[in-house]
Amino acid sequence: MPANKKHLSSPGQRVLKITAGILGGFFVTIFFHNAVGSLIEQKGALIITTAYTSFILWAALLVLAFIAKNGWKVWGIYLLLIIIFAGIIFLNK
Amino acid sequence: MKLKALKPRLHNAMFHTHTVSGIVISFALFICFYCGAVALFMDELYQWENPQARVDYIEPTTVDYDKVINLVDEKTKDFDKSGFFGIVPPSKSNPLVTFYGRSQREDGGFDRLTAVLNPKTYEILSVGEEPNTHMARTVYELHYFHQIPVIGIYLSGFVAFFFLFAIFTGLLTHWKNIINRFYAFTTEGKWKSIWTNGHLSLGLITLPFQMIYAVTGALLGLSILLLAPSAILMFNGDTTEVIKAVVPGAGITYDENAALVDNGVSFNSVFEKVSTAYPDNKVTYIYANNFGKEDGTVSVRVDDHTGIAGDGTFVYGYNDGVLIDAIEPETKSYTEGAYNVLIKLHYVTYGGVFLKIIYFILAMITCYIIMSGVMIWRTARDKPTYTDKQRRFHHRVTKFYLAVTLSLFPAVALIFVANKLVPLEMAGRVFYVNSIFFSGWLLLIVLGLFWNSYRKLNRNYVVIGSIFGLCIPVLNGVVTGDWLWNTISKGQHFVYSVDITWLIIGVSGLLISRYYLSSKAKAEDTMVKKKRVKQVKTGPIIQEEPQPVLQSFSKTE
Repeated sequence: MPANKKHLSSPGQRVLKITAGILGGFFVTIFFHNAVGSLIEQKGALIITTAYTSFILWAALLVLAFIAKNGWKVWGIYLLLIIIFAGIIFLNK
Repeated sequence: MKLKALKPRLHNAMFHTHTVSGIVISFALFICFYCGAVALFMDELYQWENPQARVDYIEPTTVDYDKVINLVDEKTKDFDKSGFFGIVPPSKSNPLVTFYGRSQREDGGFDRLTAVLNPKTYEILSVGEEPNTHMARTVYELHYFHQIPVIGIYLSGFVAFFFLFAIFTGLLTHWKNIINRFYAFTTEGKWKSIWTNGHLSLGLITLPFQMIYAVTGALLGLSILLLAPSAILMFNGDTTEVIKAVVPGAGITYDENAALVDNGVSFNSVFEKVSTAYPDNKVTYIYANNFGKEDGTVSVRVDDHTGIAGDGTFVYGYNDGVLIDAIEPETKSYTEGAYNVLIKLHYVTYGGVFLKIIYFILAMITCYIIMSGVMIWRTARDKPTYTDKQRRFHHRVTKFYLAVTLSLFPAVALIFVANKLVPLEMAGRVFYVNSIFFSGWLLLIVLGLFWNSYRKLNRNYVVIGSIFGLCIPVLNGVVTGDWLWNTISKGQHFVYSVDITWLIIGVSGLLISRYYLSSKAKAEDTMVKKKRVKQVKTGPIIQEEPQPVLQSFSKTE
């Protein structure tokens, strides 16, 4: 039985969710890891850990984008996270 | 134990994304897993694909590596000694010495240089841009789409990333049924439930394996996406800082105009130093940067091929022979070891050959899961609620998908055949072997598009692949004289196992197609009966006469 159409979002919402998940999710992942990296001394160890965690986190954020009801909200939350992490990186530079 | 169902909206959202992402990547992902599974045995296949390598194994410590460099230098006038070059010592699976370097063209550019030597007689067996056999490597390169220029590797990385996404969404989609369906595994009943059962049960079994490959595959393909931003954000745009954390010696900068040094360390002395210090860890590669100059280095990579952290690297200065940088096996730190663990998990350079066989089986199961996913998609849409146009589209996609993926079996067998048919002495033979493989695969796909029933498609490919498979040990015997009984009595286990594997595959493939695939299978009969009963009940379906293009294997042929 294919998925029930009434539960699926409109094309516009879909575009928002896909872009938020792929682009937004990617930048949240990158900024999150680098924010952690800016706080700790062992940057090498963090980069190695990034190899394990980043794709998992990115894929999870993509899933979350599809779980959400409103694509605008997803974009908003992801942008907010990016700004917070960027702030942490900036302050510790 | 019963798992709670997802809320309807959530379930449908996950279901839909799982379907869409799965169908989009299915073609590529199947190729990744299928060719990757074969490529796991790249080293083990080497003696079979290159008859010149069927010589006795000698201890790598007895080989004179400096002589190898000099011989290559003499043979090729334009070998660039100050560039990067390295030697792969003999191993049990490949008893020859392989040399990699670069040669300078007249216009100042560089070409790749590969030479293969016999370590006992020091005879140069082949020299040039490419080695004279490339069979397993072609299959290996296909698994990350290396044949597609520039974007191939990134494409495979994105396929792996969306595979990870499909794993997550798939897990959520099937969450409610994942355990009770696992125990209720059956191969009988309606085709839809056969495919779904297989998809769920086998999917659960291979879940950890698939997670490994989704993460490591994405990393190997898309590492640039992680490296570049980290370099900018943490190290002010210096990528070497990032790479230095992973690769020892990568942080060393070499000056092209450094002063020449006459009596620096030799390859042999470095090799001896490392192999006496680590007798259990075989040297897998010895290589030089800026060789013959003041700031040059000679480095050694070791691996015991057993432990997950059994690899190491040692970098020695050329001028004074002092150890500059090292990652020691077993005692390395988290930062030094963790990345290579991911690489080892992907390439299975730990655990031994039996682990590779387990990986191979798991990869084949994964191929089945990908395929059953497509079949679920198609079977679920084979209903009157869809217009004929839609159903024809579903059928065409499925048929094309099956033609591309199932034809890989005869195509892989074909490259083995081509490897023996094209004479070893022929110039540019790698090109011919690859052409036979790719055009043969294309031909098989086109051929498959004319077989309208999935059953016929599958059976024909199994038959063609099995016939090719049976040709393989025969051709190897005819061309090289190493028949099955010779190789087993001479103890050439690597050659023997390739031949016997293809013999078993060929015979069992023909038996399966003779006794299982062409006869009316039980499942099919029961299914048709059930369908008839159902049709009587529901009425209107009978009136719709299926057109030839819509005829699936569920109908009697």
